[in-house]
Amino acid sequence: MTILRGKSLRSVKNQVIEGDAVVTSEPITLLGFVDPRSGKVVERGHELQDVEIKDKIFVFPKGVGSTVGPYVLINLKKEGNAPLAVINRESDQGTISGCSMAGIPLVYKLDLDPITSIKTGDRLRITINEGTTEIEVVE
Amino acid sequence: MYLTKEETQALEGEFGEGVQTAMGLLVDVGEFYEADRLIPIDSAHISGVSYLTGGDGLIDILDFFVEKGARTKVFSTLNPSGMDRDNWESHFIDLEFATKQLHIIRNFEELGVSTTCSCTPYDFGHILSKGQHVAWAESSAITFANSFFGARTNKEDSLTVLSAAITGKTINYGFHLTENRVPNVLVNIDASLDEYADYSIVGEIVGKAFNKLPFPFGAIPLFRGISNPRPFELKGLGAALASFGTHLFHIDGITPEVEVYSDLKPSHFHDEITVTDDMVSDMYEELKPPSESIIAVIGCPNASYEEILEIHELTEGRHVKEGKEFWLFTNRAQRALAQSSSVFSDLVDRGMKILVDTCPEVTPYDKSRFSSVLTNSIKAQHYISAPSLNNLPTYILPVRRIVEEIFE
Repeated sequence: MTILRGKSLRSVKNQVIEGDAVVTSEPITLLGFVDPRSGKVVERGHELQDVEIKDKIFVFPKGVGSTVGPYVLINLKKEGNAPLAVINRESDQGTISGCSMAGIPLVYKLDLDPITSIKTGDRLRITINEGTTEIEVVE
Repeated sequence: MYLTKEETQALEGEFGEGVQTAMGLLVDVGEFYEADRLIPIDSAHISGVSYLTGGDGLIDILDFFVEKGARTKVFSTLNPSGMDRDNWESHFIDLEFATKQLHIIRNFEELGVSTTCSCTPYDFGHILSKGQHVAWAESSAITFANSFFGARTNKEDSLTVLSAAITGKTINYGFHLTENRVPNVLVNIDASLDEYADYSIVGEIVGKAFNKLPFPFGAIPLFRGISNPRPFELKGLGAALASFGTHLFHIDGITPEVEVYSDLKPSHFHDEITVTDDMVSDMYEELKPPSESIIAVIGCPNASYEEILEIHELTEGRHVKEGKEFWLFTNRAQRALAQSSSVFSDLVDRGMKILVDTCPEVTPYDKSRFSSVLTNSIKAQHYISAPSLNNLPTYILPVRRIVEEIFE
């Protein structure tokens, strides 16, 4: 069983999250290319085009694009279309602040590359305990 | 991250839940970047204003801060909203959108923000000095602040900047530190750059060349071979570069910090590109409209008075063709300058719409009227065509050719 260890935001409470992974090696442009109303990635030509991230554990390297991107995470949450958690390889300020304000658990600075260690469809269990985080690939 | 006594009290909620939330967000982000501390800022420029881009989530966040009695601690200006707040019907905005947009603007007023609603705050008195620490959002303004003024701001996002305005602090990392401001790619300009769109096209070419390189704070180009640029042309260059993740550039002989870096050897740079006239015309060819355009939008970023005067000169004796639209987006200060002479009334008499408080990319377009958009800005081209924003094909021409298309 693969286990990855990393960090989470100080504002996130201790919890265990279980869900299915959606993984991409391409950066995610939040504003304009992730649709809060459908909970899908809508960027033409993106490897996740038309893929739903609602209630998934969303694994991507980092967010890019507009400074208004964080509001997309807040709107996903408001519409009930947010991912259960976000796992980033590099991460970026907008994804961090959006997850912090929306209360979406964000996991980063992992000891293994999450993009290659986790595959779309993998069942994950994330255990957050005082800012340290363990991700188990359970099946 | 080290927190002062006052910052710790803020985090524990002693100054109210609004300040606590803002401080909590800065700590979350600061710990990620392993920043040593927060630093005081002199001003903030806040993005996340248009209902088109912020949606109902933006209203909820602002309602929360207003309800908790939060107030901005430093001079704060505001990015474009989704409409001209006095003339929204003139550009086909519906009542529901207008109502929500006015609610957002009122909330910012409550928070103590100057509701200037423009992406070019430096055009109306929000100017900076070399080395000054600020928190600016709006990618084109960040790039202008860092590059043209030599001030220091990270690419703040809409939430970190709001938190910075409310606490008067930002996170000490990235562009606040001298070691992260050193150019890392070299750009030789071997092309004649004569107008705004040329600079915007160069931004596209350079941005595309370097945006895959793994720099923590983006590619930082050192340009050689640019002479006598006008400030609004550098604004256009920066806006295009910013849409590829570059928020600081230096130009030999021009920008305030460049002297320190002029002697860097070619081996210092991770990559190098020479931009030629052929590359510029190839890019124009790729982005030109395939058929006749109905609407042209100018003012991404918002037009300066110099650009307004240029359009005034180019449209002398002409009028917008029947059934076509020419929208000039600027801010209230530049409009006031135009109104202080005959320029404003001339432009209106020639059939243009002069819009303030908004910009070409954060306003919704009436899809029953328009199926594509023509502009002179790469940044506008990127965002107007974005699928979950306006999703309209958008094409580029220099402003004098746009005038030929739209005016008789």
